Amino acid sequence: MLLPSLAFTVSTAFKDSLLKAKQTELESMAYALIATFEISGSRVNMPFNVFDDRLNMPQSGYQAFIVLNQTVVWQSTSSTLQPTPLDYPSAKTGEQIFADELKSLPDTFLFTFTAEFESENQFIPIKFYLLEDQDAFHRELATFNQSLFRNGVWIALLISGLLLLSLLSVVSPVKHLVSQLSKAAKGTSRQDGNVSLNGVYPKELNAVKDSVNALLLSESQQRTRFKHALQDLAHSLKTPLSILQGDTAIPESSKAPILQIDQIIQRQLSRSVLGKAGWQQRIDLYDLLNKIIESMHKIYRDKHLQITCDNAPLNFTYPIDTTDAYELFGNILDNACKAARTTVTVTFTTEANAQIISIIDDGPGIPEALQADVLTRGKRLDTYHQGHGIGLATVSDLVEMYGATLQVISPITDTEGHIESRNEESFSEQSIVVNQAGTRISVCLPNN
Amino acid sequence: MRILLVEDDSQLLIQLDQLLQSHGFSVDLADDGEKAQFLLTEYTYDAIVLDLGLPKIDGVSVLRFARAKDITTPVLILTARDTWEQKVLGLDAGADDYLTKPFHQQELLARVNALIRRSTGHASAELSCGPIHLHMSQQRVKVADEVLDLTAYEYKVLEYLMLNPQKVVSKTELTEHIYDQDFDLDSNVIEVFVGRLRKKLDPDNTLKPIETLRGRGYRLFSPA
Repeated sequence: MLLPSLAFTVSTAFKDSLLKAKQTELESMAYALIATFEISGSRVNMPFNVFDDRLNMPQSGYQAFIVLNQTVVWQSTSSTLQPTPLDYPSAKTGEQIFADELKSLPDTFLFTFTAEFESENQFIPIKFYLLEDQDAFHRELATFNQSLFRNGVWIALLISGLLLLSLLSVVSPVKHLVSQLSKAAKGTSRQDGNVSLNGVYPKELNAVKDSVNALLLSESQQRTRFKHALQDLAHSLKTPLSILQGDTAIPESSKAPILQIDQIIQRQLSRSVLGKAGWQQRIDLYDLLNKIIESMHKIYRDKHLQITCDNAPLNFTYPIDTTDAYELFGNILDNACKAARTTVTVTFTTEANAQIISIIDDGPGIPEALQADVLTRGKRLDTYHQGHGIGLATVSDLVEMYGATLQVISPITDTEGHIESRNEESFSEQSIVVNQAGTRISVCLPNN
Repeated sequence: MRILLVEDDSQLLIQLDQLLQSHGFSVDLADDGEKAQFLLTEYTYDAIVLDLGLPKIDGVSVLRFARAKDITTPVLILTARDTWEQKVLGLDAGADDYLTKPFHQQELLARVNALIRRSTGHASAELSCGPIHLHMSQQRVKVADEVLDLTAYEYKVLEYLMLNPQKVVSKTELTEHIYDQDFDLDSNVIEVFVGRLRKKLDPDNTLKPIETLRGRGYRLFSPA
């Protein structure tokens, strides 16, 4: 907006200047005519050709005539029209009029001056008229405007380019910071194993970056300290419990409460430690599951299970705390290995909005009559003597914390219905077990 | 069989020591990681029961140290930190099994026996050599369905030989595996135990299950 306004102002100023020049030019020509004019009685004495050749040459664009008592008494050789003084403005004696827009004289400049001349003891007003065709004026103005426009466009482009560069130099670090924040939130930006912002920023944004990194580090360290403190607490409580458990002086009736204390410690402390907190770095779930599977091979070596893991899609990562991921999949795989007869399979699926990991065993499955109980709080289905049934309760808690979905299908057939546990329906103590052909537990992790 | 028990809690250490000894194991004790590493480099064990939360050097580091030294003795880790991350960490570091605290003592014994059996290539708790049958969990020995009355050390000697059948076992090796480190070692005692075992296993001198290889040791073989 500024540049067009500026151009208009400059153009107008130039036009005004040009008009002023025209007025001055015509005024000087008029004075020259006045100087040449003589009158004696009623007789006017003006040469045929005057001093200014522009008034002598036809088609010069200039015309002049002198009027006495409404009558044209002299007309320049260059005149191309028959003047009609009555149609023209008339200046008072000693005054001048300059006009550039006259209805009677379109596209013509008009300058008129009325001077009094003495003749036979009388002062006779003589009107001098100078006319100029506006073609040259318009051409000159048009040339100027074109040049102004052309140069203005270049200047506008140059200024726009400079503004854009300035804007980019300011916006680019901010965009980079926003991108880094997004990556950190998704867990793909890290340094030394911690989620952090990386990159070089202008001095003003460096302060923001340093503050965010300090905050992330502090939160991570605090969480680690808290976790270690709770683990140390668990260790401190569990060792005396082990001693009590093994003490033959303790009656058998006291062993159950001891076990109950242990279960409470396990459950409540794990709930305190586990769960989504802040930004998580993305971890390789395929790598993690393979480590758990190697451990399962050792733990269940007597069962000679075939535990396989299908190839995962590339970059099968997820922003989840490592401890949580181990708890989630460790418990599911442990249950699957307990139930399995010969095989346990882990499969990976990537959908538009989620990543799904399924663990399938060829064990007895869950009786149809008991399937509803799988999702009911407090119900325990397993007939195993190992473990305490806390495992799938922990799985349920974690699924809820991460906004994921747990799906249990048993037996595994093409037409069987299935039970689905949404994250709002967590269940407390659960285990998977026994009756029909196979169980599939799928964890559906939503994409962030 | 000789066990290295590593546990920093003195009460639990004593309790487990008594448990293992009462079930026929010779037990060496360590209450920190440094001592455990020393004992591992000095003696040979049939199994290791290792607590992870140790002072000076933690249990995982001790485990990694052992595996780096090519010590393939089976390891059962005890841990109060029962997260799967910790279990996988321990198993990945080289442990063969884990047990979380608090645990049933019978489960500990069963897992230790299972580890020892597996390390010697035996899938079952019952060992057989011709008409001689030894049940490790029940600590019972039969010859042709007749139960034998063996002393603790006679049983230990026979168990070690049956876990290593057809292998020449030196007196020193036998001594190391049936006694803990504090025992005053005397290889003649072994000769006495072997002599008594032969009489109880083979009173008629027809089976001859234990062969003496002069200057080298003993070998248990399946009688014809």
